[in-house]
Amino acid sequence: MAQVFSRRAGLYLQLVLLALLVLVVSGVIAWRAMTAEPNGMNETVDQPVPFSHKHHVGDIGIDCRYCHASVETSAYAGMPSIATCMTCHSQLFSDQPMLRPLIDAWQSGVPLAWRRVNQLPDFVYFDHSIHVAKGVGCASCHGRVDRMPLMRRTQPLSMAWCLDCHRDPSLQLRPREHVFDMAWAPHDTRALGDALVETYRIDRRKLMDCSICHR
Amino acid sequence: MSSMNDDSWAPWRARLAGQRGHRYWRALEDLAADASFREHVASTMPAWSQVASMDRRGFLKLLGASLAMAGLTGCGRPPEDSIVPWLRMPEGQPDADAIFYATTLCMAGEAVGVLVQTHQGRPTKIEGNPQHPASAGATGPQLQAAILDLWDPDRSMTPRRLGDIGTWDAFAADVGQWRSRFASHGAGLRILSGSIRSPTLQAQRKAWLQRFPGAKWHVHEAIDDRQALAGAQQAFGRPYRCRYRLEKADVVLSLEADLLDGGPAHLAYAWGFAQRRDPERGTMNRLYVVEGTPSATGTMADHRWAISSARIGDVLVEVAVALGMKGLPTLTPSGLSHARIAALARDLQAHRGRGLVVVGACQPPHVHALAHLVNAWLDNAGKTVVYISIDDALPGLAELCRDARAGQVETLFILQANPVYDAPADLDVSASFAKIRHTVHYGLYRDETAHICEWHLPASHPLECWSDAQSCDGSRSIAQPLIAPLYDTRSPHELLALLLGDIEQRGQAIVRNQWKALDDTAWIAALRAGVLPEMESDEPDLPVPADEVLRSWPLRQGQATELVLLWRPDPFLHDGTYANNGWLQECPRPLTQLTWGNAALVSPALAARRGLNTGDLVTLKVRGRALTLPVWVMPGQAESDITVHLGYGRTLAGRVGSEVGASAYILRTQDALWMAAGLELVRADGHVDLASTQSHDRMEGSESVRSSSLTALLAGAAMESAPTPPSLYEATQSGDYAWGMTIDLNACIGCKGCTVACQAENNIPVVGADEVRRGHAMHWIRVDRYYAGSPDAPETVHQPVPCMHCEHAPCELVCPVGATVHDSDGLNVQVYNRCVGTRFCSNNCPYKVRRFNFLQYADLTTESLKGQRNPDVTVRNRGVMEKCTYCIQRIEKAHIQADRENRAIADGEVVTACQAACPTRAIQFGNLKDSGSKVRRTRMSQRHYTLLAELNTRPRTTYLARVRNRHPDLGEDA
Amino acid sequence: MTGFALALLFTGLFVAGIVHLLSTGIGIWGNNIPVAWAFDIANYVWWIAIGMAGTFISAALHLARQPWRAPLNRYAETMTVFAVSISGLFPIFHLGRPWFFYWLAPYPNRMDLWPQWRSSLLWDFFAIVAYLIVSLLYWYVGLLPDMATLRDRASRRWQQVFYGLLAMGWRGEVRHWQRHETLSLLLAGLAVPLVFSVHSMVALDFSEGLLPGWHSALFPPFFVAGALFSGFAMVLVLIIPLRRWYRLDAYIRLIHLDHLAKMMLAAGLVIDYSYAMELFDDWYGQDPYAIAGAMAKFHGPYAWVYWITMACNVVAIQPLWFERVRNTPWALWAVGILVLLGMWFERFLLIVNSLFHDFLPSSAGLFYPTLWDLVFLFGSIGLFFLLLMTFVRVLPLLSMVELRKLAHRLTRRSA
Repeated sequence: MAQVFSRRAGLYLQLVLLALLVLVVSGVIAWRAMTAEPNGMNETVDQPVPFSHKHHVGDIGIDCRYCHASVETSAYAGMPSIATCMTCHSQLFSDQPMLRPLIDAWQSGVPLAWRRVNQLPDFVYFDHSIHVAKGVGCASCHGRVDRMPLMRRTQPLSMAWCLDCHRDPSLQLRPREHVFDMAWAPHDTRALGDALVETYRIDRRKLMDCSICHR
Repeated sequence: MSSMNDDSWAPWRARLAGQRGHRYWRALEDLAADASFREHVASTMPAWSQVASMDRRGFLKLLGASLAMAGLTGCGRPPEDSIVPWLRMPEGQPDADAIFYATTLCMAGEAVGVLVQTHQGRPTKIEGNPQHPASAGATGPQLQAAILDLWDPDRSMTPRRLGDIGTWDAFAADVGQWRSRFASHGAGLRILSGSIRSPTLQAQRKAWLQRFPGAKWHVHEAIDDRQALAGAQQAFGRPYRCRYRLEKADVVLSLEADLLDGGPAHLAYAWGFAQRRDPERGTMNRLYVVEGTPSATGTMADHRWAISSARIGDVLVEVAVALGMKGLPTLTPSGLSHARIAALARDLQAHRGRGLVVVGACQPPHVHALAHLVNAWLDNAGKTVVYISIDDALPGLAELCRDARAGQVETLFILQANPVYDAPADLDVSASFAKIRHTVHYGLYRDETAHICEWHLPASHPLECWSDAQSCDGSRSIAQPLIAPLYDTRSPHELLALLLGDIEQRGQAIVRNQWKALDDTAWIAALRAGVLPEMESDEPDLPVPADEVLRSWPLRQGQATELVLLWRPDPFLHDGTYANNGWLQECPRPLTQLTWGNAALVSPALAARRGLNTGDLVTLKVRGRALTLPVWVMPGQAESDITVHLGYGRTLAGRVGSEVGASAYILRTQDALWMAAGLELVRADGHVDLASTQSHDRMEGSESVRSSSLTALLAGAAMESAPTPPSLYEATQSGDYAWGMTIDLNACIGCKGCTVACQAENNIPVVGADEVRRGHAMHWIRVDRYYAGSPDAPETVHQPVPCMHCEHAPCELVCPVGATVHDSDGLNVQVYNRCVGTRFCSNNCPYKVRRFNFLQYADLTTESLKGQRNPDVTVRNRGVMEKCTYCIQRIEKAHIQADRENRAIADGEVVTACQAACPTRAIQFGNLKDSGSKVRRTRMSQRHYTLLAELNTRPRTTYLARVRNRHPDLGEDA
Repeated sequence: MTGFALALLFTGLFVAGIVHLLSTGIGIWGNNIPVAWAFDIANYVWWIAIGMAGTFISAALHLARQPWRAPLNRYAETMTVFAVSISGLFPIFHLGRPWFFYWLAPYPNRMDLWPQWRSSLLWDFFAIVAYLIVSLLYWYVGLLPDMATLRDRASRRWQQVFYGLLAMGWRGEVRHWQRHETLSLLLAGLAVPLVFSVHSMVALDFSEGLLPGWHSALFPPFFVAGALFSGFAMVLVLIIPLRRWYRLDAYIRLIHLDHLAKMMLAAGLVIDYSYAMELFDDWYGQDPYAIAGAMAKFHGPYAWVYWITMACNVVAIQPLWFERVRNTPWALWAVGILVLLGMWFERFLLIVNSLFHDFLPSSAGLFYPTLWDLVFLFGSIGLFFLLLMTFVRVLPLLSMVELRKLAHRLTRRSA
């Protein structure tokens, strides 16, 4: 009786197996992508008010700490209260439709809900104050916000990314006075970094402890 | 107002039917979110809708600024959360990580000054206030657990009239009518309250009585020191309260007085006592304890003698005779050997003015009176014991019930008392109250009493309202709110103001007005410090006792063999007030290691004679009243005594506390509040599996707890058995710090304060009775209790066991994913989010200090409980191993603080939660690399030893051995 | 048929158990602190041990040129594959967070983390996976020619397609045969050392711990012997009824049973020796904790388990010295059953008796199994039988190729 499979069948079978393999691998990759952050890198996030860091930081030149007041003293950088916005916007552009939600919030007393752009998992205990104190520039993690009309995440914020710097902090350090300086660029990073590690007494051993971020 | 009971509610009630625990709350959340439900509510009862919405917004405000609650996210796309900034930035530094405020808490009959930690406006943790004499920086389990009551979802949230939702305005209207009726004189108007500790409330009481001369104010406490006061009355002719100076006493004789862990001022006493227990610093005191049922104080004694509680008085008489006092009654021997009495008397005699005789509040008045005589005779009065004069007692519950039955009471306000549950059974409170026209209950919970009252009014939690308090030692302090009331509640002062017709005045104004003597700077200073400066110089007067009591000494009736029933307050639940607190219910009781229920404590001898085992059901019959509950065979219990603890068997305590254990109040009568002779013990059929956390009570040859006698120690006996064995691996730990802990077993009184403090600090879940039975308890620091010697007169020792943070940690070796590793400070850290839950680490831990989330124990659904969580500590989900971290969040905070300032962490800058809570400072924590640190010094001690040193795990947690200071003449006759 | 239904039922229970486990957590089992491992690991070790004899019989005896094994090896291998697959489930499901089991594998990840190489659990993970893959391959390669035969003999089209796919285009060319032979030889060469490595690794899961009763260098050989022991027991327990039902007496003759019985006896004696040595070590080492552990075996709360183990693994196998016993199938079957029972209890004792009372008296605590513990034990057995029965229905229980070879060899010898 005749064979059901031709001689070529073997080849097809092999192809099918190969296809299966590819399918599985791509499936895994897709799943990893799915379970990444809520908003992707360099993807702007719609906010109740289209706040422009470019305008406020780049053009006007407001210092980061004017709004993110507790960045030097606390784990949280701090979000500006609406009162802070109103210091200017009770006068300026108060009639602009763009600012409507802000004005409404101020009048109704229902605070604005900004959408989070840089989000870390809940089991990660990141502290702004210590990074600022040890000379990690805002721009190092948040990018050139002075060039962002709308805020977006510029770094992966993955553990691997954190560790890159924690393994070898030198390359990311800058003098304390330049921390809030968006445009600052080093000349000889390595030499400067090593010097700063000394002056700021950064304990390299401790930087790689699990306990420094997870509690 | 429409009733909650009409049919229009049926569909909603159906949706809640059968839901319990967090499911119930989830269902409730859904309901609240349901629009149709909201409008139904709005249409039928406007009041409730207000309440509900207020509640939600309250939480929004509350949690707004704070970032997302810590919690493990499983796999799957993480939720996108939003940041809600302040509208107007409040005063102070609202975005700071944590702020402490000083306030005062009244718990278990004492007012203690505390510091409360808040995170973005959420009170999360309570610490002792070092400046407050009643705390001296320490807290106990109850104070630690108080924070949970604030966030308890079972709290009463709204006024109720006959069970329906009501409003304060409606109540005010009712009161208006009643007041008009009482306008003239106020006859038939009564208030029943717990004992009054607040000067403001005291003043309001006076004002109220002036306003209504015919009215009466009654006071009821299920657990008080009225027998002690009566004793003082007998001796001095007027009531005095004793204040002991344990730090000054060389020889202490305690007759059933649980100085260290029971009753008011025990925190201060415990510290005073501990100061005299370190042989390397100053001379050790000697403590004799004679008691019928074991107490924490008894376990610390150098000589503990078990004698039936009914014969304690006789022992005191014998001591007095041996001291050479005259005019004493002649009695049948108490049963305590002559040698012991003689030695004791010699010791007291030899330390005149530096000795102390203390009698427990449960002893009858005449024993107290005799104790006053003895202290005077030994010239201790005014030196180791001072007398504080107090006001005469107010009328009690008995008078109230009598008048009520006589129909003389028309309106009754019950302020934060629960007589329906905790009154003596023979008073029959509910029947008497039924005769009262208007009854109003005001309290934190809608409890047993609330349900028989016309009105129920929700009380603000002490952390929500302004008040003030006076502690037993006379020091006064202000209580300030840590948070705006979560629900539609009022403070007692606001309620009193309302009763006096002042519906405007708010708490702060009332309290401030009480202290108008203070100018604003002094007021602010008082708030900051948490205690007021002594106003009048209180020179304690030195009353002279008269010895009438000796003539009228009651001769003991009944023969020695008959059984005696003793009531004792539960060490945690007290009189039952704290029954709905999961932390307290689940914390193993110091001497029994029992959780979630009470039992009849029976001596081993009696148990053997009656063939009873732990867990067997027995029926206790006394004077025609009967109660059935399980037996607990209690080593060290006097043979004829049987002890039951109060505070259990609540019927309407809440989801946690209802139907736990059996209520011993059922047996209690006015004339026998603490002790009843003629008890019948009948075996009932049935056996209960009691939820105890420790099954093996003896050391079984292991040297886990080492102890020595003072003489041996002075002779130079070292406790460390062997030098640390060598190791093939070089020391890995490399950082600037080497954190270590030392626990002094000579100071630990086993109060479990550390356990609850740890639970509060580290978001440790409550698992419930069944899970405890199944060996799933979650406490990070347990306190082991061992017995040595004969079961009838055992030596009891306590040993707190946190994670040892071994330098050669067996757990780290076996974890396949590296979820438990060392950090450069030498800590053994547990990385929850890396843990996959093989549990090999726990198997390989010789100290078994690791705890596993076998199920989803952390409650992630009950909103209010989230409010209590410490945001610096991850909330662990199911399937994850956890353990003591040496409070790494506190260490890291100190690290960051110090690094920001470019300096090293100072000694004492990091204080672990257990260390902070400990009343006797038994726990030392610090940097072992710092030669000047306290913990380093303890390592040099002669008493220093390592637990299971032979395994060469090199623990960072080590112990100081226990020392007994026995009377030389008695030798080992402990 | 009833057997099949029963197996199906228990498999259903097993699945239900797994669903409940994943949704609720391992708190549904009796495991607690201190006894954090119990049925889960006992089942795992028991199954993986059973999944040993197959590969040993086919591979080791293949290398050792033992032609008589021919009729046994196919179904022994099958048994191995199923047993190992089932045992592989337990290490995964006993995890607190099973969905993260892959964290044990070293793969590039955004956390920049490796597994912890010192842990025996990690190597155990590798060992099982490697063993499963190799035995699966070996089994399948052995099947190929038979598949082809079935394909060619098949009468219905779907059967032709089915077996055709499985045969993977085997055409019986000399090239195929020659590659088939070399591949089988290579895989056999791979499988044999794996057999030993797997069980040494399983043993190290325990001896790496410092618990009295675990911390022993004796374990690896002890476990290998134990695995052979229970493996042969399972082979016997299954083959005796099968040869009866399918009338295989002609192929699987008493001599085979006799050989198996002898090997079981040999392995059993090694086990008994290990028991003796364990006790001797405890006494000789004079470690108080080890001695306490040994005492607990004799008259602790789990003493009954110990005595059952002794009865099954020491006493019950002694009759095998006699040829008459070795040649009476029902007796062998009974002994096999007892041995399987004994080996499970031995694993249970090894785990629980060491854990319930280790160093500090205060942390002692007993283990009580819950209903779900039993569901996982018997459910896995149900699954095993379900797989086996399905196999017997659709695939040749005896390796036709091997038998042909054997027949050929015999005829040539006789000629």
